[in-house]
Amino acid sequence: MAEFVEERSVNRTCLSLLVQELVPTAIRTTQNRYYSQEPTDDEIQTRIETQLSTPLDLPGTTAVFGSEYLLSDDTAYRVESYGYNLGMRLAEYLMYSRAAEVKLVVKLDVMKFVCRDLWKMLYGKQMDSLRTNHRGMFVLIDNNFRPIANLSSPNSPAELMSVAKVYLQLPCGVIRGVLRSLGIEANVSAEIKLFPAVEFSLETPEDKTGDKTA
Amino acid sequence: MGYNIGMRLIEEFLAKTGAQRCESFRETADMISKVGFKMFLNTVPQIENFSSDGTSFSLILTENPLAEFVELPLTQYPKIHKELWYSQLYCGVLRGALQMVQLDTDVYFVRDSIRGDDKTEIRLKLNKVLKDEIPAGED
Repeated sequence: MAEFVEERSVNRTCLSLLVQELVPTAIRTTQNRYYSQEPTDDEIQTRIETQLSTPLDLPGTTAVFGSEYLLSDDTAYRVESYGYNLGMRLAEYLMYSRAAEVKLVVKLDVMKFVCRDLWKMLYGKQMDSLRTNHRGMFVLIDNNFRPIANLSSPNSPAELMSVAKVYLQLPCGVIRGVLRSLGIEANVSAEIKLFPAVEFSLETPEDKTGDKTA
Repeated sequence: MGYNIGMRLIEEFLAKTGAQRCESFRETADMISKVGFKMFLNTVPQIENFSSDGTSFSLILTENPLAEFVELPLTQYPKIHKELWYSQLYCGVLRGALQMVQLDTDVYFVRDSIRGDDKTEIRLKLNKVLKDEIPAGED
């Protein structure tokens, strides 16, 4: 089956820059909605001095992270839903292209699939550890989560953490989307333990029948 | 979004290629398609329709990695087919990157194959070449 899926590569930088812009865009969208700005009809071409949202928010600056909406639910939800939609599609794509190699029978198989195949595709490495309490709780740990590893803040570590937290909504959404697409409802949350190690906690409904492999 | 990406992407471009200053906008066009697009998106768009005064040209994209899995929905909304340029991001990237090398440009889509057009065409128009200026406080 694999030959149907044409593999084409683009530069890694493109993807990381695109992901980097997701959070600022989510914040700006939130901001614009609160100020209920109607989108203008005429095509605007961004210039070096174009204000993207607030007066300080010029292209190439990081002023947008100082926005009061950085930690708002709206922004978090928006970033999470980008991830969710991506996850739904990725699951299909991965299952299709790797159908021969992946057998998903029990929940633990699905988790392994997330740790190995999904993570490898997204971040070029596997999750570092997977733990479970055999009652529907899973903990996935990545000791060096690349997308946030390069973040830094000139002001304070606290600010860095709050920005990183918003960025983590994306992988949370991706995991939730993938699981949803494979028939598992899950609550996903991420926590930064020791920067840049990230712990993803997945809460899934407990199996009444009992997990055979557990 | 694109503009911000472009501003950062140009640094990556210059660092990796060590490209020298282009003598003409034609050379810039070649650089964008044969080096820039090749390096970042693994595709080489064709350059067509150079205007007689040499200030504008079109990039014809035969492949578009951004729209690889994309189909526009068939809806009642006329807006989606008339006003949505799905890959508008490219325009911002090109403009942001060119701004950083002192070229003030206008970039816009003319046609897009996911809208049902025969090909994807991005038009670049050079407004002016900005003067090199020493940043304030560094003279």
